[in-house]
Amino acid sequence: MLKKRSLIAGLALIITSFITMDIAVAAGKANWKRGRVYYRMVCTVCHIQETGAAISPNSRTIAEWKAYMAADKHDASGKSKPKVSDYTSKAYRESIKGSNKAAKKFLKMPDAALFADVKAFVVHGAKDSDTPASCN
Amino acid sequence: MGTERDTGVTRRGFLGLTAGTAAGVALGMRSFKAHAAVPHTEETWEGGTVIPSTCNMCVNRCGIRCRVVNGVLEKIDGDIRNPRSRGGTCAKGQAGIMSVYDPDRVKHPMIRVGKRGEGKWRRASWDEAFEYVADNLARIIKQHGPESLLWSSTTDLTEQFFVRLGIHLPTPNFARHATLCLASRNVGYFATMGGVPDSDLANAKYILMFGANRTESFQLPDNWTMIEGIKNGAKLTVVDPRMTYTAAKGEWIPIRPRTDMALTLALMHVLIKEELYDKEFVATNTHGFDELKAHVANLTPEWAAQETEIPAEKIVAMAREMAAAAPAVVVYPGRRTSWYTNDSQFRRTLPMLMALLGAFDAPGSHSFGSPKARLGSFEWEIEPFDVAERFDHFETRYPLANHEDGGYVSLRDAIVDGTTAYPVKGWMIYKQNPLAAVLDGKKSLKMAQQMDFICAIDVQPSETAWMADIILPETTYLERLDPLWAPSGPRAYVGIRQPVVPPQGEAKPILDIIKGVAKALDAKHEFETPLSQVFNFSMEEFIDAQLKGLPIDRQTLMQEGIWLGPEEKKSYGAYRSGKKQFNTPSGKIEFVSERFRRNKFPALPEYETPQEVPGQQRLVSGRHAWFTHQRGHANNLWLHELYPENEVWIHPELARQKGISEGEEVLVRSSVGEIKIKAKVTPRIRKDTVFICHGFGGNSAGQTTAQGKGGADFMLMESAGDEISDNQATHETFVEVVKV
Amino acid sequence: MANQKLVMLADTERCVNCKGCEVACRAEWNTPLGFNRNWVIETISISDDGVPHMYLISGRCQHCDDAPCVTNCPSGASYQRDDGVVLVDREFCSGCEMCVQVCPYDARFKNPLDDKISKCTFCQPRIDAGEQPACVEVCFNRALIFGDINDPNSEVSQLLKQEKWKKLVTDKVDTKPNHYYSESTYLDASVLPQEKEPTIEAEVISKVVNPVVSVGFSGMLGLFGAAGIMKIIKRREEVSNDSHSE
Repeated sequence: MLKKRSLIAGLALIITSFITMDIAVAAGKANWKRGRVYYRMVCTVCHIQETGAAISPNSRTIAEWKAYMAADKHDASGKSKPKVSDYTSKAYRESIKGSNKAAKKFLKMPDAALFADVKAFVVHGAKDSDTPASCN
Repeated sequence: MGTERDTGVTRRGFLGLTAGTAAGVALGMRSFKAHAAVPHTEETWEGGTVIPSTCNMCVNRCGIRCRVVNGVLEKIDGDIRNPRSRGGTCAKGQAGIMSVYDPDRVKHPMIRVGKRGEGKWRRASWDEAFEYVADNLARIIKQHGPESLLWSSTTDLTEQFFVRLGIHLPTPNFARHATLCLASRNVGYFATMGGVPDSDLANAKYILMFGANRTESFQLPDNWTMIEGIKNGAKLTVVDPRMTYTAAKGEWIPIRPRTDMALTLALMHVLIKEELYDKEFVATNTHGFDELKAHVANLTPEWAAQETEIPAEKIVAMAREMAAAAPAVVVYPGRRTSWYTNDSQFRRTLPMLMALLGAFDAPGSHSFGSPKARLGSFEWEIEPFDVAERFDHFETRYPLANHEDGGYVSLRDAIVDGTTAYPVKGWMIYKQNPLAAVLDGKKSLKMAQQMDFICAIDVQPSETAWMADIILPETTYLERLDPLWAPSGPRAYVGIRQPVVPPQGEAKPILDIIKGVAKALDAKHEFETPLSQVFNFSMEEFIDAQLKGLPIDRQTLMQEGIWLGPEEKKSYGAYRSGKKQFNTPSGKIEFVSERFRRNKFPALPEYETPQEVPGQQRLVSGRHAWFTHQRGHANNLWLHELYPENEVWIHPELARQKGISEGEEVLVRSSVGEIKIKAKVTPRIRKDTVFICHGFGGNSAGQTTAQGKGGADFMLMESAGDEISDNQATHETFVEVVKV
Repeated sequence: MANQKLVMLADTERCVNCKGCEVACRAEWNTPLGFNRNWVIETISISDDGVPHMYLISGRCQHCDDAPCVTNCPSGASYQRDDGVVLVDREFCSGCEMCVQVCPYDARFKNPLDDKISKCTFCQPRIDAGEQPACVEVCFNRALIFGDINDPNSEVSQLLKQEKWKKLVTDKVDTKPNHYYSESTYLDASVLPQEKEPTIEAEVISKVVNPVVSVGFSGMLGLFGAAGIMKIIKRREEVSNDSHSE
């Protein structure tokens, strides 16, 4: 009984710390310009290769981007990673830092912070934002 | 330089002819008509070496072929292969030779020795110059932070190197030229249809232009496609208080200034009331028609006639003619829209009118997506993100403006009025002459006086450079290798700008200047990324990065001068059918702008009657094709020859009232300044308006040809800006014309 | 160049007075400041309804078939080539400026750099090398068209057929220019050829010296020839007389 309780308590602690981290990240301002650099240098190359065109922020509305980033579903086909956050993770950055300036520069950033930056960028450039951005 | 030949023949006077029958016979023989057999000495032509490059006398970047003989640039010809310029060069392009050989050109680093603006300089070596600049920048960075530096420049291919240095200091305080020119057009068009479309002038049946002066302010290819359109039978209507050469090519509508919106709204009223609008296009591609219909319900031609002084029948006729010609109608977006404080809203009404007519995505109308070659991009070092906010709160005050450009008048005012968020102590300027372009020139001088340090990088000792502490000489475009560019339509191509002659004096290209400053700065201050590392590449490497993915290499491109993409046939229908969407919140062309509504601006353009000042005239500005703004073209000997002095245009009736005659020197006075200028009495301007061409009244003693010639419009213009984009509003000043 | 007849067309409806042609000419021929081989003149006429109308008229030497500059040139430096191009032979030009005074279009000037007469030559060295004249080449709007009217397929021939053109002539002055302008161009005094009062020297040259000299030449030939024949006849008579006297 004790083991189960401490397990639950332990899980609760971990979950709470993630939530507070998210809150902390949300409280610290996300930087859309940093998100832009990362998106351009890490995401766009493959987008062009795989789909023939860059996926511009102005291809979706603010609501659509927010929903997309909340769902965190990138690609179910198996050709690329299943989650968006897979691409902003420290592990991923570690794996490409040798050939990618952005991955190297932002190596030490917490996952959630970088994810928030990318989200801020696509929302900032969304179709119905005040500053819709294309990839040209 | 030249094709002069010394023929060694002595002068023969008239009397010499009678000396000697033999001589007389010999000469007489030549005046015989039947002398075909007698050989004449004709001139010969030295072709020289021809190097292809690209013009930079304005922003159009016409293709040029430069003829060099014995290291001297003798002639610039056009490049017929260039799809945008089709072999043309204008007076400015031809006079590019004299920008290289201008005796007033800055050829060595110059450090001020007297008082600021006094014009006393001493020559310095580049080493000393780099140290001097770095010392001052580092001092300001350490004492006040890098954000204390104002970093201003004007567009072209090399601007990015200058801007990049500012980004890495890092300063957020950029001041580019957009708010001196077309920021309001961009904001209005982006809000309404997601971008500024191309105009198919050559195939249009009806062309409506507000002010845009394509015959005297070239914009490729519109300046020549418009003429082709007219020759093909297009009806051109030009709405302008002044009869420009463009208005002279069509029908001139001398509208009362600042009432343009009344005309556009009334045209919409007629199209809707008489059901002449394109119902299918409106249904498929627009948002907010019902609100628009209600909005213009009472904005009748009769109402507009009272505002604009255009007869109501004329307004009705215009609407009907446009509807009859639709969809082959061009409602021209314009270029310089720095006119009034409501320009962003007025510029919304043009694509709204276009949408009502369905004049989009059809031959002779408007379109997006002209062919464009895809250049690779150079991978810069990643910039710092821990950057201060701008000193002028530009983002909060103008949420819909382009924040990376800054608003020139408001930032200038913030500095002079002392309302900046923190002190601005230093000013680096590249390829820009704001002291001769921003409204209220006297106030701009105050801004310069308040700076601790000013460095100007320029070719000419302009008004702005003359107020600097140090001038760094850049090479002209004819002496420089620049990044490539690939503009859009009519056919994709890649152009190059490369050196044609070696630099004059010690002039250096901007990349070398930036590298020198960067190296000296690194020794004095630690930056997040060492500046030398940021600029650790050659222009050749930069170009190679741009060529990635293209089937051409740098050497071939330099040899050929141009790479042409495949010929593409224009296809229509993707937008009309609804398949392609517009880059707006609703995905459609927005009569009602959700973006404006969200930011608490009127969602539909609202007209306001302009103020008048009894006894005074509204001052309007503009230009001719012989100069580009205040770029030192007035100082170019060949261009000066064409038009040494500007004048103030006044209507004959106004001249009569004031007893002013043609060519007489008069005083023109506003609340911020006064100038002496010659009068041109002409029916080409309204009675309530006066016109002064921009680019004169030169005030730099370094520009010996231009100084003191004519009058400076910007010295008269009061500070004013468009409410939404902060575009400077140059036509909001009333002046008094005084007989001296 | 054989059998060609070169002409220039100025489509004034296309011209926007950008002065690319003016500066191109100056650059090509190093024309000193203060002088022009070509120009664009802006004229305004007001119609009955009070509306101003503007015309932009490109000017230069009209390369006339009946050129007073040729007939009045004392040295024969001024001449017309077979293909119609009127040129100045700088080796023989004395700089007397008589041609300058008699040109109805004021197209000539004395170049202070070499004291010889300068004017539009249709860019003779360029066209002989197969290029277009400099002013024609630079024009974005194709307002100047140059070519051979003896070639029915040339652009100038086609345009002369398809559109309406006129020349700068008056009922007082018609030197048979080879330069055409859009029919719609309003021509006022500033662009129409002026009647020129020739100077006494010019009158003498064109009416007395040149004809006399040409008569004189053939006259002299005739005289010499006649004298020669006379001499031969006389000699033969002498000889015959001599032979008879023996």
